[in-house]
Amino acid sequence: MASIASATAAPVLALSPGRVALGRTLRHGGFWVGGGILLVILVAAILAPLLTAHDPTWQDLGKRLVPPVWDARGSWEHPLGTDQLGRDYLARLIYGGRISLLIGFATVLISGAIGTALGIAAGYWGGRVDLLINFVLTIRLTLPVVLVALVVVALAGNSLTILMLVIGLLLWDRFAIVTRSATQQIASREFIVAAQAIGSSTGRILFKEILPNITGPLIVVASVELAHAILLEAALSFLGLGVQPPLFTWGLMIAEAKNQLFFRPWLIAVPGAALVALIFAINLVGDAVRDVTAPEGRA
Amino acid sequence: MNVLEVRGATKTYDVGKTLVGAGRTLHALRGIDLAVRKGETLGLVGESGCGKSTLARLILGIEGPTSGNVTLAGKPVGGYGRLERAKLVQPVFQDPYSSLNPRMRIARIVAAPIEVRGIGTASSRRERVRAVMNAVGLPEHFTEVYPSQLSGGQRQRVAIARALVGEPEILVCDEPTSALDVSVQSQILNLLARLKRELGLTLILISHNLAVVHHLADRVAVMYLGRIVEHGPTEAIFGAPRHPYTAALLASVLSPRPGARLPEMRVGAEFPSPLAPPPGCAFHPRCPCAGEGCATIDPDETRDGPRGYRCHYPLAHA
Repeated sequence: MASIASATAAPVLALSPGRVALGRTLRHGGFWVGGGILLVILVAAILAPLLTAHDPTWQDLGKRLVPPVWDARGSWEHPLGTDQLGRDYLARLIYGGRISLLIGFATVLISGAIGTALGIAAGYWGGRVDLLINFVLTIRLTLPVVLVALVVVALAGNSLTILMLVIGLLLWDRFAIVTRSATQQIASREFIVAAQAIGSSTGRILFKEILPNITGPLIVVASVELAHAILLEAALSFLGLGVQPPLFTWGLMIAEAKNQLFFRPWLIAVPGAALVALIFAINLVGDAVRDVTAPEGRA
Repeated sequence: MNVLEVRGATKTYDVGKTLVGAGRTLHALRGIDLAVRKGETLGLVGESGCGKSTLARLILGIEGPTSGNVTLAGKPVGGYGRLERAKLVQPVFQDPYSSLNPRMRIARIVAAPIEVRGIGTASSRRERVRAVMNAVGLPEHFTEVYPSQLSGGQRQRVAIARALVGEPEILVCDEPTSALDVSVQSQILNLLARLKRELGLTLILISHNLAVVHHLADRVAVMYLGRIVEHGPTEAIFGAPRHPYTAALLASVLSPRPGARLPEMRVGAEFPSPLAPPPGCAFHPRCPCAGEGCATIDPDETRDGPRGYRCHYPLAHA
C-alpha cells in the first residue's frame, strides 16, 4: 500500500516539448555525423591561430606550389602544400573557413529576421497584409540573385559588409513562405483566441504564443539557408564579385586555383572538398531536425 | 441587473471575395436579442452552423457585430480596452487539445490572464494559480507539467482555471464537454455548476447537447440559422416547446432505454446554407407544421410571459 501511495504522489515527469525534441535529435544518427563534421569545422575556424603556426597571408615566393604531404615532394612543414604565391594552404583553408562561416551565419541572421517577421505577419493577420506580403515575396522571387548581387557590387563596391547585406536581403523568401504557413496553422488554434480573450498584446501573441510553436520548421529552413548562403558566397567569390584579397574564403581559393586545375589539382580539390563537407554536414543536421520536428513529412 | 445585453446583433462575413469578384455574404447572425442577468446560466442550443460560436466571439469581443450592439455591464464591448474586457468575460473552449499552448507549462498558462494585466508580483501570482488549481480539482504538482502530459479532462480543468484566475463576471463556455469522454463530461459539468454557485458566476453555456443544457441552465435560447427562435426558462422550454424546431430538437435526444429505435425527427430536408437563408421563416422547408405565410413572412417574436418564440403556427400545449 505504501508503495502505491508514494508512486501516485511522485512528481510527474515534466520535460518541455523542446527538450523532448532535443532528446530525439540526439538519438538521430544523421545528426551525429553532420553535427560532428560541423563541429570540427567550427572549432577549427575558432581556434585557427592554435592549429597552424603559419600566417595565411605570408608569401614565401621561394616555396611556391609545394605539393601536399601525401605527394613524394611534399613535407610536414606545409601539410597541404602552398599556393601560387607560396602561402601555406592549410592556414589558408582554416582561416578562409572563418570568413565563409561568418558570411553564412550573418546572412542567415539577416534573412531569417526579415523572412520570419514577414511570414508571421502574413500568417497571423491574413487578408490585405497577406496579399501585400505575398506581392513583395513574388517580386523578390522574380529577382535573379546572382544578377542582383552583381549589380549591387558593381555600384557599391564589394566589401564584406555589403556582401553579407546583399545575400541577407535576398535570401529571406523561404523563411517567409515556411513561417507564413506554419503561423496560419497555429493562428487557427483556440489557444490563440484564448490569448486574445485574456487581453494579450499583439506582441505577446506573436512572440510568446506563436513563435515558440514554429521553431522546428524555422531551424530546418535556417539550415538550408545557411548552406545556400555559403554556396552563394563561394559562387560570387569565384566570379570575382565576392570578397576581395587580402580577405579570402573557400570560394576565392577555388577561383585563384582555377588556372592550375590540370597540373596541381589539389589546389582546387582541398577547398572544394571542405566546402562539400560543410554543406553536407549542415544538410544532415537540418534533415535530422526535420525528421524530429515534422515526422509526418518523412519519406 | 443585466450583466450582458445583445440588441439586434447581426454578423455577416464576405466569403469567396477576390480582387475582382464581389463574393457572397454569409449571414452568421441575423438579429439576436438577448439579456442575461447576473448569476444566471443561459444555455444556447442549436445545430452546428447556427451561429452559436459566432455569438460567443461577439460576447468575448474578439469580433465586433456588423450591426446592433453587445453590451457588457452597461457598456458596449467595443468600448472596453482589451484588459478591462478580459476582466469581465472569459472563455472556455470546446477542444482542450487546441486551447492550451503546447509550449507552455501549466503554471504559465493559468497565470497568463493576471500576468498580462500586471496583477500582483510573481510570487503572489504563483499563490493565486495554486489556489485556482485547487478550486478546479487539479493537484499542485501539475503546475510544472506541459499540456501534452495531461488527459482531456485535466486539460479542460486547466482551461477553466485559466478562465477563472482573473475573477471574471461572465464565463462563456463553448461546448465545454463535447470533446471529452462521457465519463469525464459529468465531472466537468459538476465542476462548472459548483464554481458558478460558489463564485456567483454568470454562465453562457453553448451546447448542442440538450442534456447538458437541461442539467445546468436556468434559461435556454434555441438558435436556428443565426436567429433565436425560442427562449425562456429551462423547464418551460423542455416541458412545453412552442416552436416546432425546439420540439424536433427535443425529440432527437437518444433514449437510454434498450431496444428503443432511433427517434423520428420529421425534419427531412438538410440544414440550409447560411449563404442563402430561405425566405420567410428560415425553418419552413423542414417544418412539419408549416402553413400559409411561412414561406413569405418572417415571423416576429411572440412574447408569452417570461418566454418568447418566432413562429406563425406555434405548438399548443394543454
